Amino acid sequence: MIELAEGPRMMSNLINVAPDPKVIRCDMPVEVVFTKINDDITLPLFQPEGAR
Amino acid sequence: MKELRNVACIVGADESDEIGILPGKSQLSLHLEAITNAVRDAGLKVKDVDGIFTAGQHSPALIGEALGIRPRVVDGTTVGGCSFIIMVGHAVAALHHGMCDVAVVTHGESGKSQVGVSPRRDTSLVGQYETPYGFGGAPTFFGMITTRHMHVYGTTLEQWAQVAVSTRKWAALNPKARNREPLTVKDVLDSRPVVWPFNILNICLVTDAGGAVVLTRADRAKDCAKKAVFVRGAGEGSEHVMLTQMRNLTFSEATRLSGEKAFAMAGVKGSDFNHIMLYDAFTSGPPLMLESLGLAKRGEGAHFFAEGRSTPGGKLPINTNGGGLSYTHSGMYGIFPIIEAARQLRGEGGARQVPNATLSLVNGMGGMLSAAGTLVLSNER
Repeated sequence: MIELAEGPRMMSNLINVAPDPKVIRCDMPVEVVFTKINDDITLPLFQPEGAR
Repeated sequence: MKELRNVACIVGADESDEIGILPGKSQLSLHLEAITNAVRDAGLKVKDVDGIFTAGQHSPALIGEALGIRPRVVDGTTVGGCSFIIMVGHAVAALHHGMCDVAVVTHGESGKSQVGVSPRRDTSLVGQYETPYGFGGAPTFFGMITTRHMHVYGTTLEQWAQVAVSTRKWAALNPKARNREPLTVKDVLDSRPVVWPFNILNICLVTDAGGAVVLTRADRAKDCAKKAVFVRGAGEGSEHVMLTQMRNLTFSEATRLSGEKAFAMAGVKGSDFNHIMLYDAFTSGPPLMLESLGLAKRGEGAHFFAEGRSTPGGKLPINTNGGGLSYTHSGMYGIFPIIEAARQLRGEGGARQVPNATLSLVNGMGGMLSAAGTLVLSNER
């Protein structure tokens, strides 16, 4: 679950991070990565701030 | 609501003929068996039933047709597994106003074997905005609530495991419970991971089962077969459907609302209860419910289980049927804690009977703490 800086919350996926509860913490800062799934669909996914 | 205190009673309560893994029974059959058994338990006949209250895939109209009766009141409020708890309150109101004389609240679900279950096509907001990211099963959502609780309050995996251990101790005393062998905290911590922070033993069973309770007005309850169980208080509440819309992931507003209403109607406070039934789809559920009901300080609900208060012989027995974790969980579990509370208040608990049980709290959630129902039940006025 992502809480946007503007206030609303949304479900998404974290990318560019190990799927490990020791690494993924509540309230860690993340940033959006618009990820093309196919020609019709692009999803807003999130990565740790500054990753990659 | 105070005028509804003690006006109606639970006079019959029972499961379907069998509960467990039942590939030979449709969920409609599970309903009908449970109703037949609960009505018999009350010393009444199916033709006496004139109010049908049910949730899930089958409408109360279908249940009436299958029973061969023409109910005067039908209620199909479906807000998740707590719906049956909520509908006991609805039944009390209907009985009080003479809308019906004998109400049955019924559940039947082929949760494991999926016999007679309609396929679901999810066009909901959840299906549109949450499922595409991999969320769908209840453990994925409740795992986030639980992880947040651990982050805010420092609750540990060992504390959640204690809930499973306590509940299993009760299941060992219930011949109808599915899992009865002894369980340790280490067993829970070593069991198969499902979704953080849950291993499989943090998550309820998936079974096939039916259950029903029969209610009538207090004046008529005297003529029924067994000791009447008074509905002293009933409350309901709802906050959200999508988990993103839950205001505070570690505190259920729906649960708080339902509890405040039920306690006020009954004229009781949280510390008055000597028996408690809480909806345990996950080990973290009961502690969060105790906190949201105000029985425990925020972050401290798990203490009720870790200190051994909740176990057989403890001062505050919780989930004495073995719970959704070890007894049965067909999907919408809410009827079963009501049945167990009725049995305890009648003194029918057998090896697991709570000595001097007089005031029982039943609380359940629907969805992900989205909706909630609370009952205050007593064997005395």
